[in-house]
Amino acid sequence: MHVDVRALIGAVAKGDFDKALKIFSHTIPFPGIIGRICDHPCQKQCKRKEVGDALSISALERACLEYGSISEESGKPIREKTQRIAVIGGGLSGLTVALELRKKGYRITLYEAADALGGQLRTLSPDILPSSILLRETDKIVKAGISVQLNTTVTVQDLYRDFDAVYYGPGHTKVIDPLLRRNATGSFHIDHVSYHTEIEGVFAGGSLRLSPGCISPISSVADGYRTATSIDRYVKKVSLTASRDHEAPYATELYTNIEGIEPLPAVPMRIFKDRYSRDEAIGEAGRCLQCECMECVKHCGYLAYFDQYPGKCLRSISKNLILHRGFGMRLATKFINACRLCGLCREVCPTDLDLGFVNREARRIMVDSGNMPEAFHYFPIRDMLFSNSEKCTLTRHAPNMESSRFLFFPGCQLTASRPDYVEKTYDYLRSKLHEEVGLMLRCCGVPAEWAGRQECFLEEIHKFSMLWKNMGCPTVVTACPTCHHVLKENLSDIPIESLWEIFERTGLPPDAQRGGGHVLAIHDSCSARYETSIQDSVRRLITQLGYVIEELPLNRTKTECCGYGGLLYHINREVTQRVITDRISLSSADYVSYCSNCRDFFARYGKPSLHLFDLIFGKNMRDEAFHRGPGYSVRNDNRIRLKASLLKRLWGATETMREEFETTAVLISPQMEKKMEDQCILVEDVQRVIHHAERTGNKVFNPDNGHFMAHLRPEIITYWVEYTSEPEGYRIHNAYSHRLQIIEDEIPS
Amino acid sequence: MTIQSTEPHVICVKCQEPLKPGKATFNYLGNTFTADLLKCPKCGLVFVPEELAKGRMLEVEQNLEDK
Repeated sequence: MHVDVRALIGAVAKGDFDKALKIFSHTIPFPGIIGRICDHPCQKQCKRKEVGDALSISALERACLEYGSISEESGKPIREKTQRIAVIGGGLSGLTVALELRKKGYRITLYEAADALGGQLRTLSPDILPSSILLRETDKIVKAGISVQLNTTVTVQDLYRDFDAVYYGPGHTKVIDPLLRRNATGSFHIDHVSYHTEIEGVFAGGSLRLSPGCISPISSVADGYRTATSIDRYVKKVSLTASRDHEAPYATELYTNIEGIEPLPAVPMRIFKDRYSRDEAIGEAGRCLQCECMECVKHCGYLAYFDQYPGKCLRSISKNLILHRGFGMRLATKFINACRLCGLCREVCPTDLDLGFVNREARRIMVDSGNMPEAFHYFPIRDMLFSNSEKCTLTRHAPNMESSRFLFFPGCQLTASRPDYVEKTYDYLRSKLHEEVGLMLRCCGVPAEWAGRQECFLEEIHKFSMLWKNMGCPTVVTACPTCHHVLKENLSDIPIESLWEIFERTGLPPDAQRGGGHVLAIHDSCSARYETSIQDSVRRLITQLGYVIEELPLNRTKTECCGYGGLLYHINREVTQRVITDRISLSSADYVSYCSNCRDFFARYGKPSLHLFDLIFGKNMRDEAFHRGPGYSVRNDNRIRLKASLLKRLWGATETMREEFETTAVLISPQMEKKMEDQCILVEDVQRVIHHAERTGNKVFNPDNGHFMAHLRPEIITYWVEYTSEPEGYRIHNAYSHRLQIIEDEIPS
Repeated sequence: MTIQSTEPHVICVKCQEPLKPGKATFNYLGNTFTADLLKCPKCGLVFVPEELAKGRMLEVEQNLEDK
């Protein structure tokens, strides 16, 4: 019958018997009867039996009758129909068919051979089912306006031409209706979905479907309920069988983790011998596991933050995507954009639901339909385009070489964070691989993919592919697990090898510092989730370097994103703080990672962290572990400087590409630098605003403090700067930005 | 929509005029609306103080981003 037993027991556990009875009565047509005599097949399926005894569901339903009360509802007003339905048999199945069809407005005549309704129920001991209760419950039939013909024996033959449909439910009987009887044994066919017989418009169910002597009150009610649906469909001339898969009992797909749950026996009935006292019922209901999966929510700080059942998340996402502009709020926009797209949910989900995949697709759809605010991912996309601008990119064969067997591709974040390691690694690789190693400095394009800007992403991937071909199709050596993943997924014809595997193959630099047994907790990058060989290589290298590895509870294929994935940081700082705090609290040991972003992100949030590069090339591990990593403006400078340094040192070339505004000298205090960093305002932005203001004179002056204020909207963000002029440059007193565009009058520039 | 400022007086450097509240047009995600803002009565140069950018304007931005 699909009673919401979880909600029912939940209400009992809270002592709310009225609510529990309401839930029970909502599905069960004769709760006073079923609550006392249900044969409770559901109890055999109760998950609690795996950790103790199954819940005493039937006894709890009985407790609802004892301790709960609901007002005698008049029910919904009935919309009368003209069709007439005959019900043969006043047992539980016939009573259910009659009552359910009456609720739908049909005109019902119920025929009962005996002198009272109830069928086999009347044979039960009054201790089990008092006759007063039986009378009260069957009285609902008459009150509902059903015509009851007692002491009346009829055949299907008598009725089926005069009624629109007939239900045949005589209970256990040896004398099957002659019209239905098809052979000597008296058996006849009943469709197992609709309970329609071979006679047009005639349905049958109840105890006659059971083996002789077998009694199942709940099956009789279920038969009656299902037949009522069939008769309603039959009269309306719609399919009797379509979309009825979940009407019969079916095994749940719900996974409930019972790990760590204390086994508990059923609460005994001490006060009354055949039923629970109020407190006993509450105690028994308290054992309910309230089955739910939530495995992904338990493992993901982002899902825990929104605290919604994944099914509900999917519905909200879907609603977000189909909503027409101006027809409501896109309430899932924040949800869709706060996912790290890391894939951990899929790894812990018993049914492989990958919400990361869903969110990435959702972002693409939002971008393609023009419903993704461009400002959301403006900063990381700008960062990507900067990395792939002439200022930073470089693709060359090794000095004095005209071809490359390998192409070192350090990725855009390492170049920004530790350009010194890029230089050292490139020197090392050339020495180990006979100078046949080219170099490519640029971004793989993943920020565009994470932002849902598929077209832009494919463009970056295409550029990479073209450059690689021009280099003679060498094996690409990756240092960044995300670049590795992106190339593998999107450019499968490109041979790639992780730098760590090459280090392992060719040997570590001899001057690498030794770890002396120091313990480091290893963090696998989420983009290396399925890269078992890289994970193994990294572990072997760390061990070779003399460190002891501690494994985090979530590692390898079940690793958790540091908090940078999916561009979360640029969308939702609260979720970022939550997930990163969770991640860095898993061990008191310093972390070691093989992704530059993971390391810098941990360090930014106060966790002493090392990169594998630190272990190989670093000199003082304490300093390296506490090094916070450069801010956004310095990261951009590093990229420019790296290119210039390499060009000069290895190829003897110089290249300067300074824009006019960059000559604007600015003085920024550490406090202001932090404020700008938090707001993703670059030094470059401030320089542009002041350069523009000083060139055009478009600025305002505050005589109270002597500060100038100016603004500029170079692309889609308006930046405001408050400054004064000093001999060494412009002192920055404040900087802030907004997304709303102010349509200004034409101001001469 | 009301976007108001209670900022102390500031002067347009070019026109040497104190800025006064005046109508300004805003645009975001395809929505256009007007609100009062400090602006130069002569050349129209506007001024958005930080409290406004990080207060009411941010609220409006977030509201429109969910539509």
